[in-house]
This record gives sequence, C-alpha cells and structure tokens, in this order.
Amino acid sequence: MQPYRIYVMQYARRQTNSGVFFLGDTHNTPMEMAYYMWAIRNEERTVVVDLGFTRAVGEARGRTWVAEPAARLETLGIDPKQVNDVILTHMHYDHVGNYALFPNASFWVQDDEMAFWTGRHAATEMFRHSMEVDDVVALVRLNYDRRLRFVRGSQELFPGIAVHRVGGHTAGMQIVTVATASGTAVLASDASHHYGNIERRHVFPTLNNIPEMLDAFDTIERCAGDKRLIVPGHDPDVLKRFPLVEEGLAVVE
Amino acid sequence: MKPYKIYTLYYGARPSDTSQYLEGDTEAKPITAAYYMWLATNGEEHVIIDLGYNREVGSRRDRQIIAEPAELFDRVKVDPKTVKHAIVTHLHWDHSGNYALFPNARFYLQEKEMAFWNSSEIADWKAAVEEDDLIAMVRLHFNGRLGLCQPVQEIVPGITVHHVGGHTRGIQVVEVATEKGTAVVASDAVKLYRNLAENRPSPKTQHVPEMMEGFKLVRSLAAAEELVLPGHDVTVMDRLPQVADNVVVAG
Repeated sequence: MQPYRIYVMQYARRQTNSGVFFLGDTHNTPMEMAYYMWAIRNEERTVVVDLGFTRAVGEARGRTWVAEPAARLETLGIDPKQVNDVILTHMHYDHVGNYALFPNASFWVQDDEMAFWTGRHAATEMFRHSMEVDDVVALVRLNYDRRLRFVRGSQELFPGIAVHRVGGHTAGMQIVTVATASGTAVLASDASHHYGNIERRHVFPTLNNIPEMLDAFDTIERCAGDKRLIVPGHDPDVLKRFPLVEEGLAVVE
Repeated sequence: MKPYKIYTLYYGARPSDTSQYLEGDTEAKPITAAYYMWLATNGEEHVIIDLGYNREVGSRRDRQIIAEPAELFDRVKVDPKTVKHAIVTHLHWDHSGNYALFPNARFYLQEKEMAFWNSSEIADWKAAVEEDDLIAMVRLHFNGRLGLCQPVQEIVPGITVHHVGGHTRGIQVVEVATEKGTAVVASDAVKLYRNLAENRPSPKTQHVPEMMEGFKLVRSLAAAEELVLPGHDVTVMDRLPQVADNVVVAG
C-alpha cells in the first residue's frame, strides 16, 4: 500500500477573535479563521475530505473568498468528476457545501450525524444556525440516490484511510486517520479548529457534548504517529507548518 | 376539554383484492381499496390525521381521486386554513401528499419515522415514499413547523399519538377522546377491520412482531370496534353514519 499525501486547500477566511475559538474566552484577541477542504492522494486513489461552502453561502455569511475549490483541485491535477469518495467529517454549513462538484462520488457520513440533523433538536436555533437547510436536503436526496454511505464508529474505508467517530462538536463528528510516509496523520477537522484547542485542551464554543470533545483530543493524539501530523480544521498556521504547493495550498506527507 | 368527532374523508379508491391486505391470503377476493384522510374536530380544535395523495402523484401511481380533499372539507364546513395540527401517521405516499393544503398547521411525525427514511435502510422500502414529500418534511422541520414526536405524546388535550411501528418502523396511531369513549385512528397499523379481527398482519410489513403488538395496543385503547378507524377499509363507509357524500362520522 502506497503512503498518501494530504493536500490542505484553503478556499476562504474570516477575521474574528479568540472568543469564537475558545469557550469562555473574554480576551477578544483578534484571530483569523481559515476555511479548508482536504484531498488525500496516492497513485491508486484520491479521497476528498469535506466540501466547504459555496461562494453564495460564503457571501451571505460574510466570509472572505480566497480561491475556488475547483481551481485548487485543478492545480493538483484532480478531476472532480473522477473522485469516487468524499468523507464528510460533519454536516455544518462549512463542510458540506460543494457536493455538486462531485457528481460521481459517494459521500461517507456517521449514522449519528445524519440522525441528529434529521432529528428533533436540529431545528433548535442554537444548532440550526450552523446549518444550511439546502445542504441537509441535498444529503437526503443523495441517500435516496444510494450515494450516501453510513458509518458507525470506526471503519477503515480504504487501506490506510480510516474514519473514527469522536462526537463532541456535533453528534456524529468523525476524524480521518491517514497513512503518510511520515506516519499516521490525523485530519482533526472541527474536533480541533485551532492548534490551541487540542494543545491547551480548550474546547470550541459551538458544541454538542463537552466530555466527548475532551475525549476527542485524547483520541486524536493517540492515533497520530507524531503530534506534528495533527491537522486542525480552521487554523491559518497549518499553512506555515507544512510545505506549500502554492499560496493557500499545503501538503502533508 | 370537549370530546371530538372523527370524520372519515373518502377521497380516493382503487380496485384491489384481499391478498394485498391479508398476509397469506389465497382467496384474493375483490375489494375496493379506500384512501382516506381523517378530521378530528370538537368545534374549537380541528386536527387533520394523514394527508392523502394529490392528483399528480395519484395518477402517476394509478389511483383515482373520487372527491377532492378540499371539497370534502367544504362539506363538513371546516376551512383547511384553520387547521392548526396535522398528524402524519407515516411517510408513505398515500398519507403524506397534501401538506400544502394546511399552511397554518404544525405537522407531527414520529422521530423514528423521520430517522428511518434518512437512514441506510431505505433501499428495499423507498418505492412507497415520494422523495419530495420527505424533503417537504425536512424543510418544515427546519422552519420550526414539524413536531418530531416521542413514542407517546399528547398533541392537544384529548388527542394523543402512540408509536406502534410494524407497517413502517415509525408509524403512529392516534388516540382520540369521543363522547362514545376512546377512538383510535389506526391508519395502516390496521389496514382492514379483518387484520385486527383475525390478528393477521398485512403483506410488506417492515416489522411483523411490532405490528402484532400494535394490534394489542389498538384493542386496549379503543372503547369499541366501531371506534377503530382502519387505513383502507371501504366498509367503514357503510358501518358509520353518513354526514355528507363520502364523509362518515365516528364518536
């Protein structure tokens, strides 16, 4: 089995502050939030992780556009029509927007995640504001079309690529472990938005279950071959810690 | 709390036979399959139970409309716009079609029913659901207009839903307080009186043991056989007093 490279593709950003990243923080320190999608590649396969949001949704929510996801894929020589598998770490609006880019893919989601967003708490304002209803509707239709694949707990989807339910941030949040040449890398996504969340065990304010969020930090560290191979979901620093292919596009290998 | 009357609104029909309704039936006696909506009303509160199918879906699925639902509401002098509660027993196409008739209603579905139709298990069963009806329920939910019910939940005083499962994993029956005692709108948990009388499941049931338990619950709740309202039994129209063309009343 050939080790994989993970490409970190930034498509948007926003200026915000420490209170948005860290629960209970009142320092109001200015901080930047980056928005990413990821692609896992070796010679045999390409698996995309997460779908960002569309430009239209970004504009409606006041996010700054950085690059088209399609353009990032093109730079990497990835034809989105040939992508067969997309992993959805969770169903928040900034992780499920660009399903239309991948007309031939199956989408992998945790049972608990779909159940929550079609369950009785989904419409409560504190949860609902992180969602685009059209995205949920799209996934319901994809399920009808047999293109939604469900996972419960931990599962190796392909040799060297596994998902693990951690919960915490959302009911069915999952992380992705990837066999790279340097060891097992972990795409933490929103299980750790920022290096600071996992390094200081300081949880993110949008959440479903605090004990699960804390356990998730432990799980991520346990799975990673080395702490340097942990990739947070929204930290601009990722682009400083890994080599760049072009501005806003880094590689983990 | 004023007791309710339940109007059975007979809007659709199709020729069928008993083998489609009674598991193991070899007689295949011709019967008319009736398609109903039910309206529980006590003068103050109007609660619609099940949403039937609309003309477009009906014709695609080869079912007739024998009376427009809107016309039937007219005959009992209830304006669908004043209906504040719409109970959907399950998401099959002939029970979930006319949500647009009730723009001011809150809809009620079992959480288990919504969960099933959004799970990995739908492949063998999805032909019986209109995808657009499911999407409509998801949108209603995010617009705050869908109550995803607990297994036993009072909707308004005198009307309580009970999850039974069986026909679908999340089907619910509706307990209604009437002057004659407790009535049960069983919908497809009891498709014909004969299913209940002969303790016989209907074919293509998702979970047979749940259906059998469901029969027991219906019997324990309903004060009399006449107060059980089956899902598709045309003999209801002869057994119960008529109040208008295609409308009979229980309770």
